[in-house]
Amino acid sequence: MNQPLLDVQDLRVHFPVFRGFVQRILGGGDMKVHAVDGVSFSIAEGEVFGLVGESGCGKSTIAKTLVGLVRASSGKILFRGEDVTHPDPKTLFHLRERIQLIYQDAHAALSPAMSVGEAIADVLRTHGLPNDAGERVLPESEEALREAVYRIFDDVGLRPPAFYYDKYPDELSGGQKQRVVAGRVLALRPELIVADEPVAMLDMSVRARMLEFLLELKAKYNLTYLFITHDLATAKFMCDRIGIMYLGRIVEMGPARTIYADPKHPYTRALLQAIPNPNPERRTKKVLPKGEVPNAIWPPAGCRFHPRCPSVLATCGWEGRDVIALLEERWLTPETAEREAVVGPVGEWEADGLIARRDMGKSDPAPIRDLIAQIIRETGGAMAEAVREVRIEGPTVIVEFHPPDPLEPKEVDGRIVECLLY
Amino acid sequence: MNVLLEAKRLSVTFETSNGPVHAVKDVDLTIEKGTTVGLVGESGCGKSTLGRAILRLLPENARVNGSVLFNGLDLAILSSKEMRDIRGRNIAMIFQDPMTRLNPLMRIRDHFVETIRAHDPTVRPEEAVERALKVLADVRVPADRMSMYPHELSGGMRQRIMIALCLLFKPALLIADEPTTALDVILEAQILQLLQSIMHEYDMAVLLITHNLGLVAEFADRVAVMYAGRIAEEGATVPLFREPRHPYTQGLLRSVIDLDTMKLYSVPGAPPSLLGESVGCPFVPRCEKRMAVCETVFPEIRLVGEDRRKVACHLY
Repeated sequence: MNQPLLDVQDLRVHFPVFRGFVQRILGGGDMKVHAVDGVSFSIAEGEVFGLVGESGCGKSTIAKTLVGLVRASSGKILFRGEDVTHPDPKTLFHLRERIQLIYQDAHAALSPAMSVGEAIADVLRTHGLPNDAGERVLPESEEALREAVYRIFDDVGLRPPAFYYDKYPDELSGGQKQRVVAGRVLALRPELIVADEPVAMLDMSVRARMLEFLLELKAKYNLTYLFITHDLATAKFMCDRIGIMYLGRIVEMGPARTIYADPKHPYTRALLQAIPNPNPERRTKKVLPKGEVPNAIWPPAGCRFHPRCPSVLATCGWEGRDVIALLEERWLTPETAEREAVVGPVGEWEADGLIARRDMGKSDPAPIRDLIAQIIRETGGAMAEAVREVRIEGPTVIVEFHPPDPLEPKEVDGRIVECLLY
Repeated sequence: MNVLLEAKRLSVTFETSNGPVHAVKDVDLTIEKGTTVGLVGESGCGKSTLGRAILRLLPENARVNGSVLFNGLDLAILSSKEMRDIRGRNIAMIFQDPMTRLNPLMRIRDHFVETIRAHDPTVRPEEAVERALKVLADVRVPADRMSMYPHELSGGMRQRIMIALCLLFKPALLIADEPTTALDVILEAQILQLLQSIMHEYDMAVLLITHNLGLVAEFADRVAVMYAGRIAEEGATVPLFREPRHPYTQGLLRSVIDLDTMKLYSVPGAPPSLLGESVGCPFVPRCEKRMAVCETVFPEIRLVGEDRRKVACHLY
């Protein structure tokens, strides 16, 4: 086992933002959502690799890119060493026999107008039936086809198969529908299954059954999984290795056991801490990251987690808009807002890269400079340390930061971490 | 005892073309002032219907029996105008998806002005804005969000605004129906921390309706576990999690996947249909401890053990 089954190298997927004519004239340059922004990982044959992160981190975009539903902007996807980044239609057709996707919502993945037996038969009519030699042959007769579907139903635990063949999706439970989808995927004998939140829609009391089922299939058919989830607890149980994603980047990646035993990246720690603990006797006060995941059109400079990070350093990527966020947060307290009213309103401040500025027009900028400098001193911490200077240029008050240190993924205690703490 | 809300033998039946669906059946539930009660169960167990039944927010095909006393006042006999006054002013409710609860064509400011003036038309819009700014600060939303439309806000901000709308009249009870299910874990924890601090500040009780046992364990003083429209077990959170008595609660707790999970467990079978009449215990087909009596006789609630926990099971 030298060559990985799947090797993703510096993958980027950017989605253009469509804007009206006037907005384009007004400028702002090309706007793109940086859904996936330089992600590398590989999956060995027989492995379960987990991509874990919150909504909007890019994990599902990666899934879609792997099966050709979304085009990579740059980077490479190698499947058994073969470049499948931009497959032609014929390659894509056969690639889909080898890489298959299980979605979160099994109900939406099945046509309501097609019986679940037909849903699988249809796949076999298109791609053929894999025989023992691994070749795909088109079914000789409708009877043979039906037999093949029965075998698949039996495999995925829909028994007796004849009972289920003519059922429509709305006659089945959530778990059963997920089994039909798994059956449709298995019909192609894929080598890699990308499972995108396969149990998120199921009730807790039956979730475990589905996970066990996926593990059984893996053992039986020697499958490899890319398991995508927001749930760290499920990932811990399912995965051999995991990658933690935040805003289009993998921030920590390594053996699941290593990461759970001793998470290194502050984001991984935050995620682990935020999981609700089903033991009321171990209630603890959680220290949570500030705010929410920022917009992926303009991801934060330096480390993308820096504005929310509890362990942030002066070199992590402080920039102009962090000043504006600071003012906004301070002024949530009405007394502070009143005391510092001359500095605001927030809308008067403008961020431009490392700089935040406010044009004071005809009024004297000096008191504002002094007050903002005082606010930053009072705030202290990494942000204050990162400020290069607070100055006046004509009528404009300017806060300028030092540029961030370069951020590279590093090997730390048996895993890769992208964080300046290490 | 400082009872705020008391539901007695509350039942909700939906008349459908396939026959009556017994969504909630003979539920007794008590909420004391300033406390949190977690109402847990899986999809279709009737927990949301119960929450809505308290506020009389059910569709027309719903038939409600039993009573709901709020501060001793029977909500069932109020006129719809009186009930409208209770909603928002005394009992408020937040839902899973704040986007669908805010009007996409109205600025945030107008949501507040309209809500306040609906209850008190004499309030001038400027005064209403003043009051809105106070509650917005309590939920930590910057004042400039007032001039924005719902789509311009993040999911967390929207849910904070929903909470702020609920706080306007300092209600004694907040019914929170899966308030964080649409949110990511970190945001979920943030919103729950916020709710907790607001509860203390406003001396407000919360009925937290959720499928997530972890949330209940962290947040609730008491827990009611619902199954097939009925309360299976109800009691103080710590003893209930330490020693669940109803086989369904036991199964549900075992099936939670957390960071300590070594072996997966799932409750066999699936929840029953609530269509038509049923006999015996609704959990019997999935129960690993079933006895002959369970098939034919419905187990009434009994007080079990030192903590006098309510359990609906023939084992006790």
